[in-house]
Amino acid sequence: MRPDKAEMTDRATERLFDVMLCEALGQSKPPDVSEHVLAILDAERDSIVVSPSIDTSPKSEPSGRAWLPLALSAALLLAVSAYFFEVRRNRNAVADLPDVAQQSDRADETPANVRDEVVEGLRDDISDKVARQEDDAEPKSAGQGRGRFEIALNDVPFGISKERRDNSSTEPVTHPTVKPQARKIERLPSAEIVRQLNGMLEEGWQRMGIQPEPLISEEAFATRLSSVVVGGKRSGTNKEREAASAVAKGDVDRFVRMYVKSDDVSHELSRQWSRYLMGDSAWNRLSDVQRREMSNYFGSAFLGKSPYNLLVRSMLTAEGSAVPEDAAFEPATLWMSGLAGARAVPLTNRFCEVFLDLDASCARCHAHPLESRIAQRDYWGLNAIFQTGVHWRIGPQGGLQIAQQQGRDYSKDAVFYEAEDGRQLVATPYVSFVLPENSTQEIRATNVHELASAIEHSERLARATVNGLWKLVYGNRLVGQASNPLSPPKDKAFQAASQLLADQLIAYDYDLGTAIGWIVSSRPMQLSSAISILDPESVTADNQQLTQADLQRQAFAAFNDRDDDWTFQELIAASVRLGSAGKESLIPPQNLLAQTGQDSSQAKPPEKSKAEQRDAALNRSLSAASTDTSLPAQWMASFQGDNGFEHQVKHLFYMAGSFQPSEKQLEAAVRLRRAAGSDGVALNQLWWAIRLSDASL
Amino acid sequence: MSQQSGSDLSPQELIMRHQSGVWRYLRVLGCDCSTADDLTQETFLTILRRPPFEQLNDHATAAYLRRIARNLFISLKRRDKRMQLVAAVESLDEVWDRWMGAKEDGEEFVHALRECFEGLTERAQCALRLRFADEVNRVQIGEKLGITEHGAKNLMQRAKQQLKECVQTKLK
Repeated sequence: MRPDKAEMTDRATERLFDVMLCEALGQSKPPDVSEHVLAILDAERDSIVVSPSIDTSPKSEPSGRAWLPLALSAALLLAVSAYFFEVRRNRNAVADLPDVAQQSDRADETPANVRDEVVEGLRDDISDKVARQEDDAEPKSAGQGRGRFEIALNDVPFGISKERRDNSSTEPVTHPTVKPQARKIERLPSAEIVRQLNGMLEEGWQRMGIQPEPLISEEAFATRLSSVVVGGKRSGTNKEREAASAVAKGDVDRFVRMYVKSDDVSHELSRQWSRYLMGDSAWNRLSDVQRREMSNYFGSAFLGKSPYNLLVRSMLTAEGSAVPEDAAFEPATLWMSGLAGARAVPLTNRFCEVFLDLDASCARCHAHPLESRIAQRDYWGLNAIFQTGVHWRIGPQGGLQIAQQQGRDYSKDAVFYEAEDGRQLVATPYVSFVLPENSTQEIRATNVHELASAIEHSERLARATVNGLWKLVYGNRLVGQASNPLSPPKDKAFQAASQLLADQLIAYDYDLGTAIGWIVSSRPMQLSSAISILDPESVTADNQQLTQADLQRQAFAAFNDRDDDWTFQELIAASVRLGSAGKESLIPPQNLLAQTGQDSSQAKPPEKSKAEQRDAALNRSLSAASTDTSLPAQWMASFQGDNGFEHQVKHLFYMAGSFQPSEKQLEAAVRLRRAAGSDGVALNQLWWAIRLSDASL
Repeated sequence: MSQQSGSDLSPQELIMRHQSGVWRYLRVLGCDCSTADDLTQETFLTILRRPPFEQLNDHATAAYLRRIARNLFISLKRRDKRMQLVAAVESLDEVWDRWMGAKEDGEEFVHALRECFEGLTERAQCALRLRFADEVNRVQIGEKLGITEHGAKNLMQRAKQQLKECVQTKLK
């Protein structure tokens, strides 16, 4: 419904007062444009006078050939005239103005299409945050990008920055607006890197009052290598023993050379890395052949043959088919095609997570509550780059093909998005991040090619990569995301360790194999596991021990044995079953401890089967989750009202990387709520189930 | 003009006389400062590239310049496909004429506003300064003043109403 006239007038008055207040309070003031306008006019006049001066006099030329220079001059004159005519016509078209000769009469003659179109007008409320954000975005894409007073003879007045115009030529776009240059970093020996890394971690543990678990034996380390690095595909073979021996002797180079960079290990690592880059759900959608091709693609980065940052650049700019059977198959397209989805949202989220280490997914719907740097406008600006710049089509084999339409005019691209208050806003393809914080490096781009160039030498890519590699080995990032309740404690030691690894990754030309060698050789890999509520031994542990063990695991002061064989459905079913049976059926660990003490003089109870042990572990763990009524994350308390629980549930799934929870998943939460009779307990049980099933929902 | 004949104004004089009014009008239309700078410049370039126009009086010239600026603004927004809240531009012209006076460039208004601002309570001044000079949001203003977001909104609305009444009196 359109506002009535009185309302419109009120809005206009408000706007007028707001703008004038900004000026009265010194926030802005009118410029003096006279000098620039006159300079531009002078320059235009000069160039018009000088350019077409052509001497057509025959001079000493034989009269028989006089037609030739004359014809050439005439042609040149025509071309120049046509050129200036075109320039002038374009300018007039932009303004679409009435004739100046009768300005007083015709001042009100706005072209009908302009008047009727009423694309926009004044904003009703300057205090509106989103509108302000839109305002802020404008200079980046229009005025400021160009420099305020640089309108030259051939310039289009506004609307698109000079860089963007340059990039919209027919030449392929390869140069970023701002290309971060690779810093020159001194390469440290691998053993020294590991020594410094261990020192930083130990310093952090000391500061946080965390006692690390004792070191494990060389034999146990060999077994751990096989389970972590090659995914438990073999139990500590000679190769692992030899590798463990190299690490024990501090010979990291040898460990990397003989173990990490061996064909089978590097292939397995690149498979795990591909899966990490894609995310579980996208990875599961790939065919076996596609997975193999993608693993092969990254194999060279783990063998140190191809710098990983160049592979990333190729992934972002590749064109071709994602189907190995197609003649136009290009393995580099697998990542983007695997993440193709509604409005490029999965692609945007994954890009931020794995290449920028940026927890940006919240900004899809609203400004990030904990990361002030990420506004909704930024998210959709980045999304618009993917949504408008990457074009998918179905190839002959039924798979996706990517075309990026280089040289297309990007200036008219835009995507719609919904602001938090329900308004539809528009974002143009543009992103500008200063990352990392306190850095002078800016990632600024208006299309995929600029984006690829901008992150190629960005410190942020290095930080994101080492964080990802760390997660691959230890199951959690070294420096976690603000919204994730499972993030490691925020300590400067972890930041410093992350920076050290990132710097050295750059110094070692993005050699992923060497980098993972440092990570696997570091202290956390050699520490014992801490007691877990899932362990049978936990029945004899008190709450303080269990809490301490949780902290140790979170801070990498104990190795985190991951047990990924729980399914979400199984965990939900168990929660509902136990919840429905009443709280008395949830046996707290203390009761079990008492029973164990009472029965200690009697004969040992019969050995439990594996399934029984599993059930018992589940019960113990669920008991802990069910008695905790505090929210999994404090910021979730901001969801109040009738739909508060639904929002909390959805956000738990978002945190686990599931941005479109299915009906079944949401239904599971409702069942938990009904069984538990408490929102807090249901949310904890849900988070427990999501966490234990490793979010593979 | 002080009804000076428009034909007497050189390009430089024309710009100096009208640029502030054009810029303020563009700001009220919804331009950020940088875009308003660009469009002000483009407005004068547009008319000065054409044959000298008949400057009947300040009223007509100012209205003409605002019309050009408005058309340039709409062209820009159409090109960028940017969408904002829709409102009738006509009502803006009406409001502009009512508050600024058709031939004025807004200087008198800003001056009056500054004077009226000094008459507000310290608390109201602080709130408005935070909002319009420092671009702080309502929640933070509320926190700084020890009131709720709603309280901050009310405080600023009341202060603005006082300013309107005061400015109206001064401009009469």
